[in-house]
Amino acid sequence: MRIVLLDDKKLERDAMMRALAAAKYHAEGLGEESAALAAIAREAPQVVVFSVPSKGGADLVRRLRGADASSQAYLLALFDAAPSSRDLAHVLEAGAHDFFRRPVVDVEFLERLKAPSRLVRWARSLATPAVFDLSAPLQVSHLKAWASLGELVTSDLSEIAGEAFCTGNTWPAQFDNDLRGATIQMSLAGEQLELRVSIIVDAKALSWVKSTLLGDPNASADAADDALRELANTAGGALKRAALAENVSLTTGIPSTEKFTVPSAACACWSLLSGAGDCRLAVVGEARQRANERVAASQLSEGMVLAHDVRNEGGILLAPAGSRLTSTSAAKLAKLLGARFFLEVAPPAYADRRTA
Amino acid sequence: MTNKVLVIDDSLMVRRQVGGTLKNLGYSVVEAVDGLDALEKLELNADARLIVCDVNMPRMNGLEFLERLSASGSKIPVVMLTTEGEPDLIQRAKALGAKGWLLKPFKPEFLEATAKKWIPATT
Repeated sequence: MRIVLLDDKKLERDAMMRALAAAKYHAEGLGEESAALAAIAREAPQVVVFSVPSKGGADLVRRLRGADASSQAYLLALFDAAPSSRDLAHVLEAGAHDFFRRPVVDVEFLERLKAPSRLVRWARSLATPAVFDLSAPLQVSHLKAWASLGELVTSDLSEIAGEAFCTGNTWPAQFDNDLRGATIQMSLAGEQLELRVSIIVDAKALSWVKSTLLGDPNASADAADDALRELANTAGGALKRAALAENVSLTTGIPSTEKFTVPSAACACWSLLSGAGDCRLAVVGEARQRANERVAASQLSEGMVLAHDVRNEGGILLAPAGSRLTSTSAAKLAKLLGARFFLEVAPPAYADRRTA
Repeated sequence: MTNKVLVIDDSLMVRRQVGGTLKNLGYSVVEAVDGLDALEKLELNADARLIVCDVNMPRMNGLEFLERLSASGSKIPVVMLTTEGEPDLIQRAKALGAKGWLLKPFKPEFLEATAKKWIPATT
């Protein structure tokens, strides 16, 4: 996320720049209004933080908005300790989105910067229904967590990378066709639906993964694949936790690495961009209908997902619906249930493609 | 002799991050790639003072590992490090004897606090 900070108090500005740098934001700190307007006009920031002058605060807001060609910058006003209600109202009316007061407290300042992302998620949520018809198959497009997957995973992946990403809502046009990535397969217990979350890089972004995430530009392909799988795993975890908040329980698989082609139009794509605009990672979400299989307990294998609860003859629950089997649990169930017991499972579609 | 920590995760990157943090804190680290591997490593490293364990792993997952460890009578504290946050799963891990649950992405400061809690400096 690119931030322009306008504050004529040098000590305060320096302190805020240090806080932004520590939080891995890409920020430009300026003391002169003209320099700030030029910086905004040169490259539209996601956030403008500005110190409100004692007179003409509303006019300053209008000039800042005028310099922002994208018209999308979030304006965060910094007031003196006790601004008048009138000054506050004028600055907000002129277009500032939020404000905070001196003295600047880092933790509050950084928390205020998260508001734009929250607002985007909230606005998107308004466009999706909050009610599901449980008598019909789940429409994955109604799952808010799925609709906002890109924004959802940005925070966690930024944390792993040690770099604050901003989220683009399209496939990265700058990516070449030499694509590699990792996919985590997720299932809904009882539903014949498979969700795939992929983290994809091109050759340039793969170099970034090696040098930044692995700390070794010459890291092996296997090590880079491992890093991509962990990114996919993290993305899957973020989706799973968010879906849980909507009372939808997803079963997560083990990520696999694959070669990719540019995704079809049926896939939802996002770009995770550095402050300088380089695309670091692409996030792709795909929902697939898939048929469950009926297999004998003796044929259970690693990666299969149970479509229903499994109980023994006494009614004791051995494994709940949605359990993804490991070789250990598959062998245990096979031994407990015997060859004549049949179960419905989702197949381990990608379990055999880990090294593809 | 340095205190030993067993780190179980199928991701090399996570093992490196977690292991690196622990080594910087003065611990020695043994790595395992899944639950089965961890059970084997424990036979040679029964003096481990703490186990940091992923949940979703091939062959034997973290909860299955906890079950086996608990059945063996081991007293080594286990802290789970995972992307999972499902309350049922956390409760199952607690019932199986897990002492803590850390959410990925991995945060060094949380791991440090956890390690210091379960491996007191005086011992």
